[in-house]
Amino acid sequence: MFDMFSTNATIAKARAIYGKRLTPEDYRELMHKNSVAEIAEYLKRNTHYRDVLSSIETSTIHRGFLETILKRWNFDLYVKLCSFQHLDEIPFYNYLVVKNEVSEIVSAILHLNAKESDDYISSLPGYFIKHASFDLIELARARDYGEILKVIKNTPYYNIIKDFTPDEDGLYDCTMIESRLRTYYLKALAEQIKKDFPKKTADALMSLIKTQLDLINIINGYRLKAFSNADAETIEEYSLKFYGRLSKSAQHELYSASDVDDYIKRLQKTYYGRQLERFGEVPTRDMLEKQLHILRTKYAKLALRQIQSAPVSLYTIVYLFEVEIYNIISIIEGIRYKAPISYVEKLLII
Amino acid sequence: MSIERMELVNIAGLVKDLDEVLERCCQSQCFHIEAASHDMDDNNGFKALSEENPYTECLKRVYSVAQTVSYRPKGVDYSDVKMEETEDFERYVSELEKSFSEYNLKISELSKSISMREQALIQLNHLKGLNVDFKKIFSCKNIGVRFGKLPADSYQKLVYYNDRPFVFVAFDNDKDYYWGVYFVPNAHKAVADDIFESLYFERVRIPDFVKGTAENAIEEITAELEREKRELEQAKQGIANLLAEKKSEIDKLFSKLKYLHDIFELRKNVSALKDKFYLVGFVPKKETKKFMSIFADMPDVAVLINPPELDSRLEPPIKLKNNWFAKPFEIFVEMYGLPSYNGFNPTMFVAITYTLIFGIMFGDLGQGIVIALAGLFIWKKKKNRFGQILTRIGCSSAFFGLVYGSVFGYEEALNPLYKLIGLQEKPIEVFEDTHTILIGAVSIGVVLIIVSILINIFINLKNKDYEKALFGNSGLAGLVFYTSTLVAMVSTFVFGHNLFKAPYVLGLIVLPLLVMFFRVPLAKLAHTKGHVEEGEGGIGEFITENFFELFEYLLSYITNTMSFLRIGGFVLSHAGLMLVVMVLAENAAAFAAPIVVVIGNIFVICLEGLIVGIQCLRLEYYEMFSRFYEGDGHAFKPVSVDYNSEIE
Repeated sequence: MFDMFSTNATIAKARAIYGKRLTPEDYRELMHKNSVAEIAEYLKRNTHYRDVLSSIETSTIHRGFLETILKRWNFDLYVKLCSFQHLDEIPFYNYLVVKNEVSEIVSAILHLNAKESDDYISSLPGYFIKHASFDLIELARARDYGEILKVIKNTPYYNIIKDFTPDEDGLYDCTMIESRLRTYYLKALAEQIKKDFPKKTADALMSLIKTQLDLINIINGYRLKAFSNADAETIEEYSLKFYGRLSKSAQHELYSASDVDDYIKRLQKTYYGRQLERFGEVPTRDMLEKQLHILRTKYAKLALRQIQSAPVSLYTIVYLFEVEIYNIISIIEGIRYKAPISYVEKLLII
Repeated sequence: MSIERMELVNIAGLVKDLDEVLERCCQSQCFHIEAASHDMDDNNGFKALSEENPYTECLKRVYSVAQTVSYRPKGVDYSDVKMEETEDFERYVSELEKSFSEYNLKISELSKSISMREQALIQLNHLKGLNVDFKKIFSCKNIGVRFGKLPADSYQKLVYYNDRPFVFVAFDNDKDYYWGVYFVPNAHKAVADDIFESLYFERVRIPDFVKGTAENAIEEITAELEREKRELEQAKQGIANLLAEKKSEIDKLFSKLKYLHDIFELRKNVSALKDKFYLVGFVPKKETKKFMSIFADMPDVAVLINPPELDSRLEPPIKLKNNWFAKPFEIFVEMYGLPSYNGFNPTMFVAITYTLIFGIMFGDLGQGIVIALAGLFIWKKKKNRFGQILTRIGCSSAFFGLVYGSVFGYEEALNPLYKLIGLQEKPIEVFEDTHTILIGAVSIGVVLIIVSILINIFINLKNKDYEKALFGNSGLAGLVFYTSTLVAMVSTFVFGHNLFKAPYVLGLIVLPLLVMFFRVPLAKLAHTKGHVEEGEGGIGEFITENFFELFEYLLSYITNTMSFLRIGGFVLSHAGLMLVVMVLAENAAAFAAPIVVVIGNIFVICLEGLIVGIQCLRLEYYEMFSRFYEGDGHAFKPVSVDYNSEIE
């Protein structure tokens, strides 16, 4: 209760910032642009990204650089909101750092598998170097799995991935590594939430996290089913070992589908199927992932609007801007590959 | 003051009549369509029509043409547009695009060139500090030299390349960039260039004609820039003239395309099997006859009217039914969320309480009249419902101004009026009756909280959710606890009659608290229809959780009640602010006094009026709605062609 009162300013600030988000009109304008430079110029002139782009020369901007700037903006927003009322003194608020660390480790291993470790430094977000709990430059210098493990030796990630061995082609099972690390991240987050917050706040946050992990599992299952018609046991092996609104048995029931169509039919009978129906959506093969992401954003928007809690506001606003940045990147990709507007539109999570 | 009753409408017919049916649905202005998913199941074979809208691309192109000249097309009469086929539209739009493209191309090229030159200028300004003849640097034979800027994030990554044969020297930096130069042996130039490219290093290209220092280059580029800017202005004027010529053509084309597009878009909500279609929606009960009559001349179309409960998968949409007084306050209810179909329409409650509280907090006869007139003006000019709210709260403010005897801050102006009606003085003297005002404010809060709890009990008894109706903090248990505690306190501390005795405390205070504490098991015993959370932990967790929740309930009773003190607070602050304005006016020169009074009044109306409006809304949402209202309904949206909407 007292926590709630003392962090009201953070909630108000978060909501005010979210009020400046891109509108459907902005997306429409962006989709009609013909180059990355035009997109950057529009963002600089007409949107809340004007400050972060103020010193950037948009006419010559590189696509990757623009993406990095937008992602950095979101990370800085998180840092700014955390430090606004000294929230960063509470362990929960370190969640985005942990999430990014997991992503960097997975990215380094992916580069290793592709024998492109030298290129990892290019994708490494410079703004994150000073926030990470291990040396990211050393991670970039690692040239084999042993060296990666050495860099993360003193972190909790070490024990989670130390026992992985390469297959006969010398490749590491990245999907499984990512699944284990994500499970760790979400479990640790759930435990931290229970420790740090009163029941109401914890319930609201857990509801968001449960949705997040269920949707990861549903999408993961859908992809495995669609691309390799994997059986239930295989999907379960790769799914996050942590359950939200879909119990273990409900997930098994879903994964046991005979093919993708059956998978979608079974999904319709679950909580998420009913929720999609509530919002007037019929799950389809082409649109399922998008529909599920839209569902998650709807929950997040609702939570941001209705729940008077700083951690909920922070968690949702960072996620909602992640989605916004994903949308902008989709538009940039569309322009890069000269995709028709109607195709790009289908990718947007609005 | 209730929720409009709906009827479930099923329309079936032949696909050949579909467009006509959808058009008529639009024209009826009372048909809310539901998604096709509800009509389909495993057995009936119906599938949603998922055709690509043939008009979307054309419409987007028209938008696009209009956007390039910053014009937003309008809905106009398009009866003289004879085109029907998409091919005809495409051809026509292509011609339209062509007529604008020449100018657009020129503007785009000039803008790009101007932007590049402006960028070069900025960069050259950063290089001024170097003060070296570019010619000398570029004449190095074995060393490659690259001027430019490196993003600050990338600068941190340079440490990774410590063992590479190049060196970056920064001579200027800001929060985003490091400006500088890198030197690399010619043999390693390609590799270094690749690395710096991956770090988003932006080269400063020194123009070929530049000789000498950066100052020379700046001079040359500035002259070129001015010439290009003049040309750009001419091109923009040209496109503006073209738009003036084609505006009407664009509007007509847009209107027809938008109409066809929106009608076709409705097909997504239609399911079909072979040559038959089927669609479902809702129509307000009172309009069903009129709606059915629209299809009377279509023999192959069947319209079936059913009660909304017939299909449990569909939640009827919400159309609030309110009288003239409450109607504008629907904005506040919609902002929070609409009620469910069988729920409670709180608009009248909001209208009365909001008007009353605003008037009390912002009582001034003159300012109230000004607000009411401003509201009337906004409503007449803009048709904005907010204007109607202003009219109502302005009248309330004026009424309470009469009670406080305040007219634009002149506290004695109404004294003759009071004497005329036989009163010795004004009914309430704000600065002398402070206690009465504050106690009155809390009393209003108590009454409103009790009314909110009663509404909650009524709603949940109707829905058979006994946990909320009987055992919750806003249920019967909460009501008994809250009123008993207040009665005992008033009796003990005001009238000196101590009610805090064992039977009273145990029966009316402790017992309700225990009921709230054990509300979940009690609700299970009562087989409540509402949502009962399953406890995951053991008895320890149950006690801990419920103890803290009970503590929070107790705190909320106190904070909710005290929250209404703000009503009294604003009565005082309003009078205080006007006193300040009057003191300032008295101390000002004679000619300036009226100006001070006018500006002071405008300031108070705008600033304090806004704050009071927000505070009233806060009381509505947090202290009252939180006790009885869940905005989980969805709005009734009759299908129509909206010329202002965007294409999805």
